Amino acid sequence: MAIKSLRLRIQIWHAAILALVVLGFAVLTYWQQYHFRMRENDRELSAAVEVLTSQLAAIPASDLEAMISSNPDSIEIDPNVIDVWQLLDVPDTFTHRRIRNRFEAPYFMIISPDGRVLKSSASRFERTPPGMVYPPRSATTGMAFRNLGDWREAISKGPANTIILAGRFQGADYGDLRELAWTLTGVGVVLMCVGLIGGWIASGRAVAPIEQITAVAERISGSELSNRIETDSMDREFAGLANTLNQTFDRLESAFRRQSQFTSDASHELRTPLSVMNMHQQLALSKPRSESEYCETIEVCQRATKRMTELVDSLLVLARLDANIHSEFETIDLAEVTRDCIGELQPLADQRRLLIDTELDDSVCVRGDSVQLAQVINNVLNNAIRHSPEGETIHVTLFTSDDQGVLHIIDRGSGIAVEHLNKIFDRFYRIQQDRSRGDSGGTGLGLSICQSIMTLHEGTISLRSDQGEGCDFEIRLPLTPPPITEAPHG
Amino acid sequence: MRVLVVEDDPDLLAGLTQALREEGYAVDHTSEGDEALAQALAWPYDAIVLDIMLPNLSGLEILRELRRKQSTPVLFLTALDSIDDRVSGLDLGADDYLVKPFDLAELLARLRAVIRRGHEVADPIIRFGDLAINTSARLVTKGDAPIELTAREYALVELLAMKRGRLVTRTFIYDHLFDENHDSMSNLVDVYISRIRSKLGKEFVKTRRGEGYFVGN
Repeated sequence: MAIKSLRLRIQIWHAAILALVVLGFAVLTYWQQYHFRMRENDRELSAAVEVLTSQLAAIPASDLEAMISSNPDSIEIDPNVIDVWQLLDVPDTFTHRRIRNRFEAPYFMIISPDGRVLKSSASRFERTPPGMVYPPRSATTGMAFRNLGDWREAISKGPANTIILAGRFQGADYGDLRELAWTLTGVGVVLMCVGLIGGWIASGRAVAPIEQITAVAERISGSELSNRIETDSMDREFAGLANTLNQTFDRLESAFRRQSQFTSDASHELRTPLSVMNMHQQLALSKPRSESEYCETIEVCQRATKRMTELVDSLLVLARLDANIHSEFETIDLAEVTRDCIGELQPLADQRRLLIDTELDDSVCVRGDSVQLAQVINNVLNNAIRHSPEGETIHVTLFTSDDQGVLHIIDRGSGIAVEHLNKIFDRFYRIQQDRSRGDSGGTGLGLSICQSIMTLHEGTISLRSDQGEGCDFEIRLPLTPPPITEAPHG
Repeated sequence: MRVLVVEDDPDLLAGLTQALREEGYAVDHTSEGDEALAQALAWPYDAIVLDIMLPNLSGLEILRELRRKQSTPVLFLTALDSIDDRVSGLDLGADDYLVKPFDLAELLARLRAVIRRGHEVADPIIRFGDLAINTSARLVTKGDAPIELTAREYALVELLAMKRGRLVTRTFIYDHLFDENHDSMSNLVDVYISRIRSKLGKEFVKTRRGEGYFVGN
């Protein structure tokens, strides 16, 4: 089963590593101590054997053989040596060795080649002689060692084929080592406990920011979008995540705000024509009226209906553009679309005695929806015609620049003040003088729709204007290679 | 009663003007914010019906400027329907707030209430002896019998009743009752005064020769 808690997983890894380290340390310490003790003991026993060997070697060989065969008791061993305890070169670590029982005392034996014990230490505890079973010898020292229960013995061949043996009790060392093992186990357990508790607390602190982030993210909802994650006191790793989330919340909030602003704007825009209809209907019904008065009421209602229809249509277009719904893009000759639009609006321009001066490159092909692009050009051109003083000229130019098709529609109208420039593409934004319906008749959505269409086509629409200097609308679209017309086969 | 109507939608403005005139109000109207402020400051209207989103000057700015000098009752008529909009409108000193689309009857009732309060008359029924003027129902009764009045006759009775105990000049009556498109003062006021005297009784309106009229004691 996979463990789903990060904190628990960190804790388990932490515990495993800690256990490994503690165990490794304990084993190493114990192993080192064990070998140190054993080596010292062996060295001590070897030294004893060598002293005894040198004692025997001091007796002339012939005498020694005679002594072995006839009178073992006459072999002289330095009395000090007999008391091995006194003589052995005992390292410091062993000086504190307490001999509590007789059997713990060191001992030695000199054994004849035929197995008789020729000489033994005073402190020798009754023990079975090693017999003639020689343990394998160490190649370098000629010394062999064996364990007999808790005793350790060093055995070597002495002069005249004698066997020299020195032994000692190791039980106390084993006891020390057992004690060391227990100490190490105890310390290990304490270390594990401290490490695990500390680790649990530390991992808790480490994952605390995640819980804070979760708490804030849970509070974020459609109606409550202003909460942000506090990142000042956060570690770099979490602050990065929190900042990313905060940016997402920012985007969400502004999207929500735009959405609700749009909805409320749309409802405001619908309220006025609704009020008009409501007002005039109630007025007409309040008392009997003449035929012409009824006709007038119906005309007013018709105008209001038309306005609402336009508004609803525009809203629908915008909603579709927002949802990215569009027909299949095709390769379009932008000059052709522009000419069609100009042709369509020419009567309106003629009516106002306006000249439309065109300068269109023919090789400007873009990918897009020709109906939508025509709508953009129509809208901008229509604005230009409506805002130009009579008898003026409107310039329309189309050329390519940096892989883009650039269309300019320039009028010599009254222009737009700086404070309106960056809001002119906002939904329902109207320049106030423009609001009297008789003039513009607009829904305040035309340029927003243009901008949405341009965004859908990965193009841009922008406006440069100085008040009194006219408007210069610039439409930019990425170029596409012209369609390949198949050459007729010869 | 003379009312100023400020609304930028021409169809709605026309409808409002007609409806108020049919109710017997004298109506001035404009669709421009700056013009509305100038008119409101120049004239002691009985009430102003004000839109908020206007060309040139917003309704809120008009009200702010107006309140520095005058306490003319103002009724906001607007498409802005959020609580914040209502609160800021009322806090600026508006007397009432009505959201579009509105019911004509409700607008007229609220307008009547706003005008009553403007004249510091709390009770919608004003009494003089056995005469009762119901300003809500726009009805005058003598004893239990209702008296038939035209809209303009009623408006004159109401105006005099609201100004009771005070002298009302012929110019004041003319200004508050008749639209500016009437050609001359002539003796229109006298004609209406004699009409209501014949319907309500001679003693209802007293004349102060050379000065004007008054009602009550």
